[in-house]
Amino acid sequence: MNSGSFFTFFQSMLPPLGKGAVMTIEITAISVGMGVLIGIFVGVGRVSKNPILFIPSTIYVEVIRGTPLLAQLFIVYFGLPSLGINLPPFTAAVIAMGINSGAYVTEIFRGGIQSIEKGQMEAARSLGLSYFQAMRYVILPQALRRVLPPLGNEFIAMLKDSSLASTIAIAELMRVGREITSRTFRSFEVLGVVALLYLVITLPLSLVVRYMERRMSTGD
Amino acid sequence: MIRLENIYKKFGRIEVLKGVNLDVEKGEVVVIIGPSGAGKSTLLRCINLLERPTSGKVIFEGKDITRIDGKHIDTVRERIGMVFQHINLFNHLNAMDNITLALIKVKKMPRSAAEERAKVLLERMGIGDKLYAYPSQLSGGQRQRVAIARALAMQPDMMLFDEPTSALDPEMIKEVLDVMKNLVKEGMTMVIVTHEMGFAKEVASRIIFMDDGSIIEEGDPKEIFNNPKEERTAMFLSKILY
Repeated sequence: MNSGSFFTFFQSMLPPLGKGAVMTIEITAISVGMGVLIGIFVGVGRVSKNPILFIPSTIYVEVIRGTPLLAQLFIVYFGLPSLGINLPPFTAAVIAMGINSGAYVTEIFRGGIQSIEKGQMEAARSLGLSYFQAMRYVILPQALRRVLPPLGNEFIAMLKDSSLASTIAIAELMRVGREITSRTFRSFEVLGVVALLYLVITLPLSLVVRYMERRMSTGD
Repeated sequence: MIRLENIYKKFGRIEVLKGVNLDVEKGEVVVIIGPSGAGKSTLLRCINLLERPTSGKVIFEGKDITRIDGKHIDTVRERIGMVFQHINLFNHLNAMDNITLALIKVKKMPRSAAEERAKVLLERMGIGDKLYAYPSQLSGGQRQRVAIARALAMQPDMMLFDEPTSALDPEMIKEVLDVMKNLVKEGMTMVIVTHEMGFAKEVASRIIFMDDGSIIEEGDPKEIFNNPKEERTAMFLSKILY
């Protein structure tokens, strides 16, 4: 093991790791943001009786959830260039992870929409609102509140999975950690700190999620 | 105003309506009674096509609406108000917004005019002080009155009531029935499914007794209650009347 006190070593690696953590949060936020946009629309498709909406949205969800994120990431970053589409690493990562997150968020929204009592839709339709107006003004606003806790969990899961982006040369937390390791060979300490930093980000988030869940269970 | 012709409705293999004919004229108050599972609610829901009949015709103001597409169905529903057993106020909106939503989104009414109408209606329902209350802050009876106001706001030609007091605590039933009685006085065309026999006897211009997916007997309230012609009607009434 290398000499030098752990404390000074820790101090020296904190600034680059901090930068990596910021990148991790950034990628995750953009990806889950994309996922939510996708999820709202595809989620509405998933509960539709219209096969033109239901079938493609179901295929999307099953394909994405049934294949590894790493494979999806590689297809976008290494695979698309052979079709003439070259994406910079950051864009590739965000697209792959956004599409991936979209599938999970879709299922979260499907559950949220289906948890709203049938009478809400019927009342809206009985007033002359169209199906999509009823979705937009009556069902989704109520579903949105119910899906906040699972969306928080999705964010936490995606934050950890974003470490896969290290494989396509993005300087996020995991990648920075491995670079420091390869320079200093202090794998255990560095990777331990990396893991700890993930925990520092996810722990408050899961506390927030738990708080929201408790509030929901004591009535809307 | 509305005519149902030979309506059949199947849910899977269960036949809920077996060839029902119903004619409601403008200004009539038709009350449908009968045991649970008779198909009363399903029949009511066929009127505004919340249920599509398996066969038969729904004719609204001379036009066959049974198979019309989504857009046109909305314009028919605008004109037929409905009040539900489970009330179904929009839980995320206060009383005012419950009423104004369809006015603004469907009728394209300016918000200020819609809110004015909501105020007047809630006043009429005796809950003018509950404008900004959310459904969770209202009693069952108050909620149902907001729901009636919400339906009335669209200025429908006809109102459907699907057991509007069945989910209410006993002490709240009267306030809802009173509001409905006022509507009758104003000449609203109404079709009501209810178990409130006293109310039915008082307001109905016609009573329909249903059992097992068919209309067994219909006629003047006095006739039906005092000397029903059909044995099944008599049996039903003897079970529920004290």
